[in-house]
Amino acid sequence: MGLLSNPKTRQKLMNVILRYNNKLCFVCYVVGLCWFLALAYTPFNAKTYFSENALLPGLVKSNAHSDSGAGNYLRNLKDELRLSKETRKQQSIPSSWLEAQLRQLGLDTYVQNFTFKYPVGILKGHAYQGQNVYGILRAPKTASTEAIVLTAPFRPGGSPRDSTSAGIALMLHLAKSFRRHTYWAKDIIFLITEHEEIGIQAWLNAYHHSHNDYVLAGELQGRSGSLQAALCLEIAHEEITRFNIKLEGLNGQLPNLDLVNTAMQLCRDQGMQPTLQKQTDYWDPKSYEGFERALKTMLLMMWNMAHGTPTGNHGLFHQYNVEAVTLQSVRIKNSRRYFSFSQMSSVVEGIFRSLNNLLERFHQSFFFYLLPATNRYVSIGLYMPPFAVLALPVLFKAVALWISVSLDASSQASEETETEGKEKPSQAEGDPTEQTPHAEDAQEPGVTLMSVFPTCVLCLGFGLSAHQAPYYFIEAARGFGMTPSEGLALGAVSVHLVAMAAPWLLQRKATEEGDSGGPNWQLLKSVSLLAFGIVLAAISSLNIAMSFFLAVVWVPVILLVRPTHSRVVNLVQFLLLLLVSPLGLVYIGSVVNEVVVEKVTDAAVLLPRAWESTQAALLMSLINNNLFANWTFSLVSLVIFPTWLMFWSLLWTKPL
Amino acid sequence: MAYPMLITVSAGIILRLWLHASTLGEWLSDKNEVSTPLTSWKRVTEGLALYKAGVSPYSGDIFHEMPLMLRFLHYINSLWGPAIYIVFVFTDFVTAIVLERIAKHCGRHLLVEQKKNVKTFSTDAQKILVKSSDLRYTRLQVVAIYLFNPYSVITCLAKSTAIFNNLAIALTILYTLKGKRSKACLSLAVASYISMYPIMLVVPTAIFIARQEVPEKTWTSSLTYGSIMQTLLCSCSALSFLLYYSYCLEGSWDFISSTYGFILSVPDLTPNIGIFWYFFTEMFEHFRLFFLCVFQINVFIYTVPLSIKLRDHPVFLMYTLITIMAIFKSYPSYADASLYLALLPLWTHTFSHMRNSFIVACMFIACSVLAPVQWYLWIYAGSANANFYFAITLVYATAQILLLTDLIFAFLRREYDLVHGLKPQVNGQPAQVVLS
Repeated sequence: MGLLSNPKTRQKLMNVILRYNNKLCFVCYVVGLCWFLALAYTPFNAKTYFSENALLPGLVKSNAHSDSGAGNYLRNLKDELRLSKETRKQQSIPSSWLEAQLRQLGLDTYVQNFTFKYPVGILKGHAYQGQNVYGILRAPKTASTEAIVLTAPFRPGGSPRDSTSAGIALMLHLAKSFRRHTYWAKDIIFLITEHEEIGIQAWLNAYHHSHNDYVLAGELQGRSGSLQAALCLEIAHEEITRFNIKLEGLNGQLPNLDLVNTAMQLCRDQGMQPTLQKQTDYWDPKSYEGFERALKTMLLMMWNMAHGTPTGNHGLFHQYNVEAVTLQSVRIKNSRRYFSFSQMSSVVEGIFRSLNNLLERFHQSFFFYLLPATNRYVSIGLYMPPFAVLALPVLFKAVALWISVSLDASSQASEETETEGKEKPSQAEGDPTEQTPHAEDAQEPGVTLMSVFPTCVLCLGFGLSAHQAPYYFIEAARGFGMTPSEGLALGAVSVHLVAMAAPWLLQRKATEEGDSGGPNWQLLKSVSLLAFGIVLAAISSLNIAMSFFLAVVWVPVILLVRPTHSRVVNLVQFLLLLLVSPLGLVYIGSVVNEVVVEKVTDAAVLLPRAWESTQAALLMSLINNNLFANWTFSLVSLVIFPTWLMFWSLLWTKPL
Repeated sequence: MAYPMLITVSAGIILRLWLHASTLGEWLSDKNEVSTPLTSWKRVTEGLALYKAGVSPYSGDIFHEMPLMLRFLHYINSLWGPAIYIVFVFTDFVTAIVLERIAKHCGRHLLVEQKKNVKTFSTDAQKILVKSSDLRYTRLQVVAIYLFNPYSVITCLAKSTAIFNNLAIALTILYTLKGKRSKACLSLAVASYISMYPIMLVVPTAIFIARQEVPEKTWTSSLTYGSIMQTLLCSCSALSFLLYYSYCLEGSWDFISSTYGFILSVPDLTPNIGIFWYFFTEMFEHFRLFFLCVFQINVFIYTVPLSIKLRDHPVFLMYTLITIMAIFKSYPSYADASLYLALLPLWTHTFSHMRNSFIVACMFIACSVLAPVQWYLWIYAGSANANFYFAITLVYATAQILLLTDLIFAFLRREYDLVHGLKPQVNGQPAQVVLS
């Protein structure tokens, strides 16, 4: 019956795991990590291709190339904005102007009002107003059963992000151009939103009749059919160097690869080299420099996926099963060639003509992939094996510890029976194979398994309180005159401290009472590792990047930690564990972000700035959790924090 | 003993009542792992509405409860209204008490059987004999596992009607163990009336009662057959009575096709944790009937070999059949697993011979976590597909089968060791027992 039932092979397997588990763990970790990173190298990944035949990208001649159209719109929009700036203090979306423009084109135009407020009493629950303007181009050929969306966020002057006026102008121009043709088989919705992601969330919520406590979306006056795909424009200039394509969505979800490929292909057709993560492809991908560039692109993509915050408005479409990407303009000074509205409109029009050809929803191609270059992809089939190898040490160690606990227990039991002078079972001497059923049985560890139980419950309880506590922290912070982000950060620190102190206090109390018991550390570690393994498996299918980074950072640390008598080793373990604690990871993440993205190098500037961005990150994760159903905050507080605490309490158990 | 039991039971009840106050139940009742088309409370409310409106609920394709069940649910619903969850909590409580009685009687039965056979045992088998001290905690374990098992908690929260089925099955086991034929047959008939599959439990019930009634020396005599026939007849007539009474109430036999017909022909292929849906969505229509027969026979066929092999251990046979039902039935849910998992501690004495308990436990936990994740990715995010979820249900089925085969192996191996001793010897040399 094979591996599991044949006692001999089984015993062999167990011996191997028991004897070589440390070496195996090390080898697996290194091999898994190197293999995963090597996937960025061109020979190890695959060239992108079109899986959906109906798309037929770039097959039609562009009709929309007229520079003046979009340019005029841009000038008018700028005039309008200047006018409204003079009359009003706070600049908001010029909804009446946009509505007039869209209506003039003969589209079904509507304005949606929405209000939103921040959760857990941030800014005292003050409600903000916003408006979305959208026009629906009804398809001449069908009965509004399907729709595709072209959207651009409106950003008032003085926004820290790039203006999107050119994108809105281009959209209006395209609306005018699309209107003239009869070949549209799907409705096209032109949507201009306010307040970045919140506007999109409000519109999508209203469109799909879903409710959100914090984003209160007004009813939509008009609607179309089911949304098939969406394209988001963030164009800042009339003349651009290239498009950067952003695709990472909410909770690390990605759009269908076919849509990404279509966008890339149509950019290339116009002679424009698209980029991912603002990284151009290296000219010689097989060289070492080429690998470096690809690796950087892939890791940046994973970085953006890992925190679960969408990189643009497209990211919120994914949760409704609508494929979406953002075209972001990049303008480089002294570029060899600039692309005008004419080429940009050809790209967007081409994408829409392709989407118009779709016969069914995007379902071919990949939803789980990583992109090391604009024309290369790593599919789930390629990245899962190295990830599994990377995470395998967790399982190995858990099994090895479990076996050793069982062996200890059974040998102890046999010793006891011996001393009691009873008839001793044969298993200890005799044949080794006979040990197997007893070695791995659930009975002896089963008894002690209960000793691990209180620790698990305690850790989960702390996780639950960490999830519920922010409200009180922010309330308390207001009393001390602190900002919500400071209050939240201090609260996070205090939750960590209290949770960290708990096992220590429990242990002291236990020793005072003369109770030498407490959980068996091997068993506790085995259970913790198993819990972590399951967490990794669950996250990996949702968001591979997050589980990859988690595994890379955690696996070596959690494999090493064990209670010892040595003070030095203990101190090192404390530091290591603190470093990989959720708060520590957010801080490290902020440091990395400051170094890589903001290019800060001076440590004296870097560390306080990183602390500030840690505070901001905590606050943002909390806000995103409530406003957009971004899971990162819940996941970290309810799952990752308790798991970490289990390893932390491991240090306080009795060493052997 | 009484205090821990009291605390466990009240904690279990308070946990359920507390969770019922939250919106968790609402959310769970839509989960396909928890409520199937047969047991979903949503469908029951639909059926009740139709019933109140004077329309036969069986004319549509929504409602699949039996007529008597419909009237019973209608009665408690009109009596309790929105507080109906109390009935579900109470049913769970009763089930827990019945399980406790089962544990008690089963332990007693094991000791009696052991005493009877002790002469045939090997001298060094003393170590693996069941001692009454070992049985002390079994009752508490059974109750605790049933009340705190997440599977049974979520079943209760989702107001799945499977808990009535579980109660009926538990009562069957209890009355069988008590040797009360009429009550056992009646509860067996009720269980099979509700969900059909428990009809196969008639075999262990008949064997058990026959062994109780007929003296050991005359086991092969006609007395035995008489006793078995009596049990069979008794349960069949009880079931027929229930069905006929339903017919009288309904005025037609239409309900059969939307209840038993629904169970047997599996028209609703909404994914669940069973093995039917994926296979039958993939299949060409003209093979459907053939494979339906294969799959349904598969559920029942194990009764024959297991009854032959385990004829001396009808209680264990009953347990294995309940597990098989939970694995292979057409619309399984976590409710079915919760019953046999709760009764697992009855076989604590065989655990030392089990070999895969660690793997099985890991598989169960991993499945429970990964199933909703894959479901989300497939149905909501639209990025995964049916294969992802199917893989998890396959692992779940494998885990259950592994558990069952392991338990049967452990049971038989212990029986072997009891007779042949712990140190098997061939020609004076230590030997190893290998299952081949």
